[in-house]
Amino acid sequence: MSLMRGAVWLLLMATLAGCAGGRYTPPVEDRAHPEVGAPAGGVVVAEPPMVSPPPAADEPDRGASAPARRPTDPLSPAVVALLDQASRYETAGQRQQALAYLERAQRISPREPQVYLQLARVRLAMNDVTRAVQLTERGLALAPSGSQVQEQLLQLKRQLGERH
Amino acid sequence: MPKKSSASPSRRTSKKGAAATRSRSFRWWPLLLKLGLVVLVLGGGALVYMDATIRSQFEGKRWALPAKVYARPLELYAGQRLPVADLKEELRQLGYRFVSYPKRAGEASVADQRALLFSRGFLYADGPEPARLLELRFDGDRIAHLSGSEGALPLARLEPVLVGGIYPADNEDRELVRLQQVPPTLVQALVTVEDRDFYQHFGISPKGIARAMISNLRARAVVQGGSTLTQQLVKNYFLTSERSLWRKLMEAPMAMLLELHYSKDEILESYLNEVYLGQSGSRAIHGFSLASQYYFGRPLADLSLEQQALLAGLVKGPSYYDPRRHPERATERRNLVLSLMRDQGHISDADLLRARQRPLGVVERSQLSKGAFPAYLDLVKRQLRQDYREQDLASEGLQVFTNLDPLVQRKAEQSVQRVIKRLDGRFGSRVEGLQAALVVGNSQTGDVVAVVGGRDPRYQGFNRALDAVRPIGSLVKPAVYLTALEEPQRFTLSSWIDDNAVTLQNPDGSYWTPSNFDHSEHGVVPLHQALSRSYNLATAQLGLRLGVDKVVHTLERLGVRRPVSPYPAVLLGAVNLSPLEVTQVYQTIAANGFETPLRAIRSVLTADGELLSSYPFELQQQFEPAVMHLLQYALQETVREGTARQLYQRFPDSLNMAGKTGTTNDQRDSWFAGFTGDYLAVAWLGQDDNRPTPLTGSSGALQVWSELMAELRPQSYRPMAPESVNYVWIDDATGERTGDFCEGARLLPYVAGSEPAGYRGCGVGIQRTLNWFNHLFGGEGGSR
Repeated sequence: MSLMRGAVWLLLMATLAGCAGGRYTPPVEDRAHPEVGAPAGGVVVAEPPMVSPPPAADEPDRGASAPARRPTDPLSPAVVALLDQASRYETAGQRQQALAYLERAQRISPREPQVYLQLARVRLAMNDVTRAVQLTERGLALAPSGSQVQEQLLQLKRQLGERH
Repeated sequence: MPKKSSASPSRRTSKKGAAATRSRSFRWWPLLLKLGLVVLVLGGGALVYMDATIRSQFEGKRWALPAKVYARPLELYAGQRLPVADLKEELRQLGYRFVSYPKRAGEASVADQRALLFSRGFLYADGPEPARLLELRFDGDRIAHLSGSEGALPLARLEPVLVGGIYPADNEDRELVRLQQVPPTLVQALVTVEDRDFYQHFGISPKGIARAMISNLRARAVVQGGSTLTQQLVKNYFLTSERSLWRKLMEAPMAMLLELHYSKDEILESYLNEVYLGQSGSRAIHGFSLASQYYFGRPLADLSLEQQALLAGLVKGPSYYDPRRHPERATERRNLVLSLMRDQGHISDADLLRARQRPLGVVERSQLSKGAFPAYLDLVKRQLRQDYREQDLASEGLQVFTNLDPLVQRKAEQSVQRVIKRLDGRFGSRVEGLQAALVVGNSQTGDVVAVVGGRDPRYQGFNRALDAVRPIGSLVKPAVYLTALEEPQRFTLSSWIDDNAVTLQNPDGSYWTPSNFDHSEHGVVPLHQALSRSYNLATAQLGLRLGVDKVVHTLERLGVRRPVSPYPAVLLGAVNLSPLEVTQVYQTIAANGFETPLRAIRSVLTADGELLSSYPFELQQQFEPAVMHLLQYALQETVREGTARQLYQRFPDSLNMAGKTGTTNDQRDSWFAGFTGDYLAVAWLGQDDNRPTPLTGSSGALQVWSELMAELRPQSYRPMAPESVNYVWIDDATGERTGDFCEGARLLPYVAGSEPAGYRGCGVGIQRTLNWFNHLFGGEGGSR
């Protein structure tokens, strides 16, 4: 127990130290799958918003229900806590840690655009533009129309476009 | 030996000027002298060699530590769906002790609406999870509130269940433990029963030998060994297991040398990790730490007094005293150890009495890791072998963190077994030997959470989920329709396509005349209906219009890595894939056109907890979300109205699901691939020898899928309509725009700009007047 507490304290100190002086993190091998190569025809760009969203009409008796672009559900406190912790790691330059926390958040809320926005930002900070672009697109595919997170994702997308 | 050689020279001097007989014997002396010297040198050399061996081996001793494979850690947070029974099962697999009030790590109390548990803590790749007391309050099947000793907590992680290992060729398995982590009473028990003079002797124990000799003489046989712990360690470490005099001779000097160089604690720690304590199939259980998991399903530090005594007692004969096979012998042995501990003053009379009353407390064998989830572990090992050398996997003590969800895995196994049993009852000999495979993933992240490789989920052999490469039948159809829908100006969900007989020439010159499942032609049908009803003729016609090459390319973009020959037969499922490969295809569909490689492994850490490699979330957009949204509509229609509609006899209307049935020629393969908001699962049923079955996709594999989902209680699939998609009311009979109040009206999604132009209104006499008026004056023009 006290050992654990000590470890937590150490971690905290390390985080603080990271803020101050850029803590060394051992290089971690990314076992990414290279075969997920280029898509057919390059990066698919989402079409600009054209029309107003369709209404939420459910028709369970006659076919599949029509979905609506509804506002996002409020983030669960668990996801908020993980995103916050990820931000702290990101600020401290501990990007692998940040990614680990974001993936925990993703497993809890895999359709939460905020998660993809933050994942994309960390990847961009790691100079991994390709992944950042994909994550931004995934976030946009999930972001409700007119939401703040959609605006942030679009902004990131513009930024990535300049880097490309 | 040294004595002999030192005596020789003095005798030699006294033999000067001897008689003939003496001179004859005198001639032997130089030979004896030389021999003596040789023996001296050899003996000294042996000693030096022994010493060097011991020091290098002992200090450099690195046990081959098998890689440990862990399941996903269970995250606990308010709002999470976690039935109390599932939490209990997870805790049981982690070896928690169920008590009335948890006071130390590894204890829990679980009631209907509330659970209290003291987690053990774990060092994860992203940081330590502390050991702490957690309180969970449930509201039905959900966690309503989570708190720790200092108030509400946003989330907490349990330690991960160890589900298996990767073993070296000799199948030795062990877990290392430091002496400080070993309960002192266990050390006392061990010393008491195996080597009472351990802390006094110098490697060998004359007292012990005397004791043993007396008993052996009395019995006129070797009934007791006088070996000290040090000697036993030497025996295990440096010598072979054969019982020879030579070995016995080597043992004593080596033990003494060991004692000369190392402290009692160092020797004891090595002993605790080295000793053989049981056998699980081909796997040898070494060391007290692993034995604790093997027999009690919990870490050494969590063991009670009587459990420690049992382990100490096992050293003498792990198979003779095997508590699972010979519980009476084991109990007797355990109680003997306890009595001896009392005699030595290590425990009180009260302790003894209490401990003797306790049951053995040994867990079922099935709980232990190896062999628990062979099909999933198979997938893990294959992925690991791409990146690591076999010898490293079996010796470096790597920690492998996987996505396996043991709760889902159990439910998946049960679903397969239940359905096969039901089918056995219904079809009897016609389904004899029927086999199955089931892959379950997270529909959004690509995590593979469960794999069943056959009807017997414990079977270690043929893994059908990965290796049964079979024609996928109608599961291929979404690729045909997706190819069409990618040309929105040419094809929409309401486009008319021909469901008429077609004869195709294969490249080899032969002809192929497919038919529909019901052997009829349906004339002209809307595209969405052709897919949801799985019409073969319409699909073949459509595929030919598009070009087989294009459809094959779509399959590749969906994630098929195996080469597919572009024959027309491909259009109706003459593509051979494993259930895992099919899962990849449907993963891309479920994730709105983003291909995400399926992942069994999250990360690999060194034995010390340092991150070695991570397998991050990967994705590659392959299709536009708008087009994928249309396909998802048709796959939802399949389960609402089409070939899989019987699902809704079991599930509420409010649950959105999407999927596709598949049946191959002569019903040799029965498939279903489908997804909900959180899960994606692909089920296959068929015979290993490819015999026909009486099953279609819906009467076979769909049953497995449905059984699984009924257990998982999945979240509804709530597709998000992309901004470039418009929903429009369409008259099913004509494919023209109509009002939502009209008979036969269907709300269909279109890629913006591809909606039918004209508005038809309702046909004569089928208006529902009120709605009709509302609509007329509402000015919406039917387009919503």
